[in-house]
This record gives sequence, structure tokens and C-alpha cells, in this order.
Amino acid sequence: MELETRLGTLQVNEEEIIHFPVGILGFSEYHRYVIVEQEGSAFSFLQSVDDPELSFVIIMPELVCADYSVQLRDEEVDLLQIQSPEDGKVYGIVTIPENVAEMTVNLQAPVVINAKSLVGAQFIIQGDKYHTKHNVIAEMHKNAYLLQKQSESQEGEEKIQESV
Amino acid sequence: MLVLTRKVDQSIMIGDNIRIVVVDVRGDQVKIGIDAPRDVMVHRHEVYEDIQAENQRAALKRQIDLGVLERTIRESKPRKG
Repeated sequence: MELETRLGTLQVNEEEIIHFPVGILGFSEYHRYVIVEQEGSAFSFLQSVDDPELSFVIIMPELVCADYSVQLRDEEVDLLQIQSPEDGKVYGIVTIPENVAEMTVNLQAPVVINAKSLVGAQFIIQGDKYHTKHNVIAEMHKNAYLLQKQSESQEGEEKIQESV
Repeated sequence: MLVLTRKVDQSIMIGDNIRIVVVDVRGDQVKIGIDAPRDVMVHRHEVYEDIQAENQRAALKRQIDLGVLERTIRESKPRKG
């Protein structure tokens, strides 16, 4: 099937369409999406098949926030027919304002997709650790700082081992 | 709006599959239990509205070049503090 989207003409194969039984919150009438990846980019598009005008930019949350993890509730696991943790792919929806540097990612309501059964849903994480507007660039810098610290401490450990 | 009076442990059915139970009442706080099918999402109203509004903002209104996003990140400097 061919779709005329903001991204241009997209060739969509039936077998790559992800079904959202509940829909994205606020867009509950749309149930079919495809993920459009771009080589070399951390970002992808979540493109509606039902409405070619509707698309979102998404990113894997762990690229923004290294310790991000989602604990699905039983009914969410059931809804997505997830059998093992590897089945689930998690994405955060990115909001891009006029000033691109101010882009934010919604870590409170990630999109979770079962890559095997191609069923997806947007879930809301309980608790107040995550909210709807994490500044992508600020979080990435925090991440880079943490990663650097981690690699430094690993090097430290290696040195200790060498000296033993 | 339909308004019903219920006591603790009493419940309300919405259709055949959704049951709402008053679990506890203390002062101006009410604890509510909800039994619903798995494809019915249950959320606090303010959280639901917040996420719906964020999704509306995130839905692309213009063409976005992912390369521009990548470049913006590469060229950004850590904020002080």
C-alpha cells in the first residue's frame, strides 16, 4: 500500500503494520501505525496508516535517560501478548517546538510495541519519577556525564585488577 | 450526570464488565477500586488530560528532518549546574 505522508510517499507492507487496539491517547480513532526508521538516526517516526497526516517523532528512552525502565502491569502484558521481555520495544514520543533545541520526550507515557505480534499501546507509568516533558538535550548531557563516570570507574577497577 | 450514593464495599457496575468499588472513605478522600477488561485504560483524569495534551503537541504539524535533530544534539553544550 502507498501512503502520501509528510515524509513523502511511503511503501507500507501489511506485515509491518503495528496494531494499537486502544490507540494513542487523544487519537483513539487511529489503530494502525508503522515505524519509519532513518539510518544513522536515534530518532524514528511513528506514522499513522489510517491518517497519513498523523505522525510522531519517537526515540528509545534509554538513549535519553540511561536508567529508564518500564514495568508493565499484568493487563498491559496481556494486551500486548508479550511472552518474554525481549518481545517488548519501548519508545518515547518527542515533542518538537519551534526551537528544536528545546525538544522534550514524554517518559511518563511510553509507547510499547510487541515486535513479534506487532501490537502496540501507549501506557502511563505510575508514580512521579517520569513526566511528559524531559528535555532531551539536558538529559543526554546528564547521561554522557554518567557514562563517562562509569567508564572512569571501570578503568579504575581494571587498574586495580592489573596491580593484583 | 448520574449521581449514586454508595457505602464502603458497595459497588457500581458500568455495562457488563466494569465494576467500581468504594474501598475506603477518609475525610475528603475516597479510595476506589476498579475492575475493568484489559483493553479499558483506567487513569486519573488529570493524568489522562496531561498526556492527551502532550500527544496533541507532539503530533507533527510540519515536516521534521531527523538530521536537524541529530545535529542540534551534537552541537549542543552541557548546561551549567
